[in-house]
Amino acid sequence: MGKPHRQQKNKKIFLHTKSAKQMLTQVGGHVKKSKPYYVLLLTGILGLSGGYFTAPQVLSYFNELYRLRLSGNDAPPPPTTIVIEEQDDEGATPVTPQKPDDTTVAVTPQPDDEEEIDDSDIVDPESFADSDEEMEDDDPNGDIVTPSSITKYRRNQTPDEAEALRKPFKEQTYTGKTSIGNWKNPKALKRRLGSKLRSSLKNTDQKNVENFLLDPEMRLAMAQWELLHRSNLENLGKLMRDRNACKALEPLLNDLEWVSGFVYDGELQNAEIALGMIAHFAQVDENMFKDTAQDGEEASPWLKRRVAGAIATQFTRNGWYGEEKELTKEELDNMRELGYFMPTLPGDKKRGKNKQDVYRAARERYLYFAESIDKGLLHSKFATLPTWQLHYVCGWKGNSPFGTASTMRWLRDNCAAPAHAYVGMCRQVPYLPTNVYGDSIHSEWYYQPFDVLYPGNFAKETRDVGAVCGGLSHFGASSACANGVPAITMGEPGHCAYAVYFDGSWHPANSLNPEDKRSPHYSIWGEYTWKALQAQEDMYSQGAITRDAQMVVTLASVMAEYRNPNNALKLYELAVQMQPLYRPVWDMYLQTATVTLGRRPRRWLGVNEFVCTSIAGENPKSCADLLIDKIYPGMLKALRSPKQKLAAYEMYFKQLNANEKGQWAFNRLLDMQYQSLGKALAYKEDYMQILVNCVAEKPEFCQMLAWAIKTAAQENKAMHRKVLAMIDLAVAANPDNKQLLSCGVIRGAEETGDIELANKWSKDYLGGGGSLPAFEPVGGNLVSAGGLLTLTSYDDDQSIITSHGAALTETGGSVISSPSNAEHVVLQLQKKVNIGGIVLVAGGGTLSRRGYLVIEYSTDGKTWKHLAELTLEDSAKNMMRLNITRNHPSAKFIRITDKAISGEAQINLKAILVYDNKKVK
Amino acid sequence: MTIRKLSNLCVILGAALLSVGKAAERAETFSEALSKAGSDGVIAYCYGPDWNRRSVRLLKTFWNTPEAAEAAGNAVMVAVPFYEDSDSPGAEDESRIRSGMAAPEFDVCPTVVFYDKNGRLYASLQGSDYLGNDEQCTLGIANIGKTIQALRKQQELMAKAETEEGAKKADILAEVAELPIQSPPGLLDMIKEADPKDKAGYARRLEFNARAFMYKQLDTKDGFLHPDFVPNYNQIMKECEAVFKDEALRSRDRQAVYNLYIGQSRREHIQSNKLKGLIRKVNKLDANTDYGQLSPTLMQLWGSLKHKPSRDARREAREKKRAKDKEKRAKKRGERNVEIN
Repeated sequence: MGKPHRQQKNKKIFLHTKSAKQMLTQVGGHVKKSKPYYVLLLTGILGLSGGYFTAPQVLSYFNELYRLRLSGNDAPPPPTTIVIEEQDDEGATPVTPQKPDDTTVAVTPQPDDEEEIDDSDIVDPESFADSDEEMEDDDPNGDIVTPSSITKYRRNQTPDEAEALRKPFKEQTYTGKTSIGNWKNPKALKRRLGSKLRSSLKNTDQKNVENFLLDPEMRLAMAQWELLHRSNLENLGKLMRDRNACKALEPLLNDLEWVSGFVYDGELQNAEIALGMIAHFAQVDENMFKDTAQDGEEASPWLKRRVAGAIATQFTRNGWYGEEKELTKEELDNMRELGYFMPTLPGDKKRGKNKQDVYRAARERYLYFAESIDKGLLHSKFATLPTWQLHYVCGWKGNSPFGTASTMRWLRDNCAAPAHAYVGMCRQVPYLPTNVYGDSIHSEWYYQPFDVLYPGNFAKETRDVGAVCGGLSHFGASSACANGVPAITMGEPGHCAYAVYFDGSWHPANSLNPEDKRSPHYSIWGEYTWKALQAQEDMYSQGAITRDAQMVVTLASVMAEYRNPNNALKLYELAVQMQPLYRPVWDMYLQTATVTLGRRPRRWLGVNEFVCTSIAGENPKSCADLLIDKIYPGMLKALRSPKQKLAAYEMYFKQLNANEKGQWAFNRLLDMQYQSLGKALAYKEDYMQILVNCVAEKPEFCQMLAWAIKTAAQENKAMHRKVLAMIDLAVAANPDNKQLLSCGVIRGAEETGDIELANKWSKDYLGGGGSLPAFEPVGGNLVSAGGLLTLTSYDDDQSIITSHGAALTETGGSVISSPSNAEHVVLQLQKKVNIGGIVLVAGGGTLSRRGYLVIEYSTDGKTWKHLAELTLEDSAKNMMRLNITRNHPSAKFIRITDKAISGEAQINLKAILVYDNKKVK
Repeated sequence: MTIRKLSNLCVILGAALLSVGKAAERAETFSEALSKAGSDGVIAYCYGPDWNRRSVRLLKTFWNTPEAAEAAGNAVMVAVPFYEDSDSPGAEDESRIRSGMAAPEFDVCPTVVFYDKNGRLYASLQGSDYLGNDEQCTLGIANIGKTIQALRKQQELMAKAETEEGAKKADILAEVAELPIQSPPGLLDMIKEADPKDKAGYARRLEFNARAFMYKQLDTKDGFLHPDFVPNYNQIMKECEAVFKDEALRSRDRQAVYNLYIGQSRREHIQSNKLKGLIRKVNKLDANTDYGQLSPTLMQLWGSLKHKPSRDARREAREKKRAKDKEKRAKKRGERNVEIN
């Protein structure tokens, strides 16, 4: 067993000279203006302690004293008794406070407390963390984040209220009074706004925060502070000192609706450059502030300004402009050098005809939408799109030839369709992998000869010349965006698809793969999965709550910036409770938690539990990624006891949703958890038991059994035996789940090359594969039965693994791999034989999905010899008979490789039958 | 001239006289329009009342103008709404108005769709490429007139064809196939019937598929090139030349086939003068097609390409060939006793 945890000894606080010095520096600065009285007191405490306090501890103590004063007790606190004990065996000096009574103050952090900090006290929050030092759980009953202590965000309890929240969100109409002159000194403005927010927010209680959020003045202050927070203040100052820019931006920056939409409805990264662009748009479009369409129909108020904000946000994203060619740091710097507000186009002289000219591209894009709005040429629902959806439409690939204004204009005028029809719009483009000159789509010559016929109109060129999946999908998505309907292209394995937004959800188009294989090319918060796309939709459909949560995050950032990490942490927690789908908060929350929690094990366990209960059920992969990347690095340093680690890990497995197929790679998470348990095998056994129990209840996650078997086999034989025994018991206790559990075991056996184990668990499923088409016999006796298959990858449908055994017999089964670039299956025979013939039966119409099969043999599974290569024609058949008439090769392993000519390879066979050359018995 | 021929001619002349200067009639629904339809059939204007404001505006500035009616001849005109939202006001009438109407392939608006008197869709004008960008759709009005003229020509030719037999009939039917509207169903069978041995080559012309020809030469079914496939240049040259000389084929098809020869010649690094000659030949055949128009660009792009591969490329090709031969030999050894079927 490991060393007894410190917490179990007694409540001790370890104080170090170095930390005390650090604290002195911080606290001295902290109180120098407003609380000179306490400086003396703190100095006294430090003196008493011999300089062995840590900065956060003393600071918390100071907070406690100050809180007493705030609560009306102006008198100095009663005398404090600090008992200093001898140093323990690790060299630290434990300080055990006496039982708290009237005269004893425990030196503990008080995270609930407020601080009033001078504006000049902005510090790096990381200075509060003493990451090298282990801390006790010094506040066991305090601010531990556990599900039980988390009250659900109950602001909207009644169904009517909940329903109301799902209605399109509209920010309050409010015009602020911040003089535009203030923006000329953004640093001072930010300080003032931060100070105003902190002083107005009395405490971080949920109710108080809710009331705070009702005040439009505070909302505007938060949005403005966030805008400043995301800007380079020095450069913003330069921009705002330009008279024209000031004039253009003045109506926007004081408008709550616009500023909050600009800041919160997208990924605003370079705010000052974006503002420069908007000022530029306002100058080139005199009608930017007039929102009346040409046909007299009233356009949505603020539409063009919101469009301007969306375009500017998208075109200034880091690394976004240029999916093919990223906007380099030098180019960004170049833009900065040129100034942010450019009445004439930037770099017309300095940069020449640079295709990467973001300003020019953004201006063209803005003018395209402005013209389309003015003339009423877009889909009618465009005017009703919320700002976040405008990012998809107006920010559509500015760097792509499909995103030029001329191409979009052609698409608008020739491909205007009802929103749902864009799903099929890609069919206008013929699927032609080679052009009329016989040049492949992958060569430079595919489009080049035709460019002259279609100047600046790549969409029309694509329609007339042809394309493959990428061109088709880009055509479909860009035609939607050009007409004001949100759409997005997506990557799929070996394929490109797209999705269109209508009827309140995203609809896949030209898609060949299931949801979990789709990777949208754009994401508001940098998570490129179909689930994240849906999560964004869910999140923004709860517009009111989401906006409130985003503003609470701003408040938390204010607190974090003004060195109040405890309040920041509380506000982040409140924000994630309000809107758990708002993923970026998790990052900020965990970042702050890492800084604040140090090595407090119980707090870490609380955070772990909070994350698992909030996310693991619906998004096990995202949760695992958060755990691995954000929580475990800090938590594992804090948790010394393997028991605590096991408890933390179990929390994740408990929350997994049985309906959620576990088709993503668990291995990274499982490996990390297992390795963290150290060398004590007893704990590792416990861990395996937790896994087996989880899978027994939720057999959809049976691939975790394969991991357990493989890992146990690598550990030692005893562990391997024990894991198998655990599985036996689990199957006995859950007979209904036997088949899925068997899949996990068979996969484990295949991955470890355990032929006996595979046969033991496959024997019940040998007869259920149906029947094979009749074929003339080849060779002699069937020798593949009882063999072992090893695949390069496994199909999503785990349940078919039990039919691997049957696929080696004449009843037939199913062997399917996941599509990828190179796929093969290896059959290990029970013994070495002379091969007389091989029969392969296709599982899905053809033996090879998009290529041809190669068959090799080996005696050791390492050195392979060529046996046969099927032609494309043979590979397209349903069955193959390979008859070896003489010189029968001796082999124990047969490898079948699917070589794809284009797209993906995939093994999909119903039977792999191998015969020897002996006389049939 | 037989009496039958004379009567047909009278009908055509009569129809032509009637159509001169007559503006189209309008109907509320497609079925009503079809019931009223004469030889010029029905023209439907598709618009999106609840999603496409421009197409709604065009109702007034284009569709319901006397200019459009005049261009439509004696066709019956009907405006057909395509609603996106079934809850939109007026959407309940959509199915009644559209009943019996074959929809165009893509739901693009604005669109003008042409039907003959039997309800067969024979042409459509979609988007600004065919209708124009202006609110009066000047281009669209001109194209409506042209399409109606093409239909009349088609009807005239079909009527004429009925009076003829054999090669003459085939000639007339082949002319029908070249009109810029969809041919009547079964036209190819009629041509084959009139010219069973395809002496004039019309059936060959209609059945020829330049893309299928190319895929055959490149040994591919879906267009993806096999990485190991080495095209037989001489074979391609021979086949392409043969097709190019076949005057029965459409000039664009012949150009398309020759384009493969040009592309393959470029890939084989033949001498630039020879390559230029091939490109010139395509242009000479028909300079008005897109392939004919591309010739100057190709001259510029490929005319100056080096005809010899670089030293590295030659070395690489040699090594590749050697490796391939080696592999072939190895494969031959391994497979000599293997039968695959």
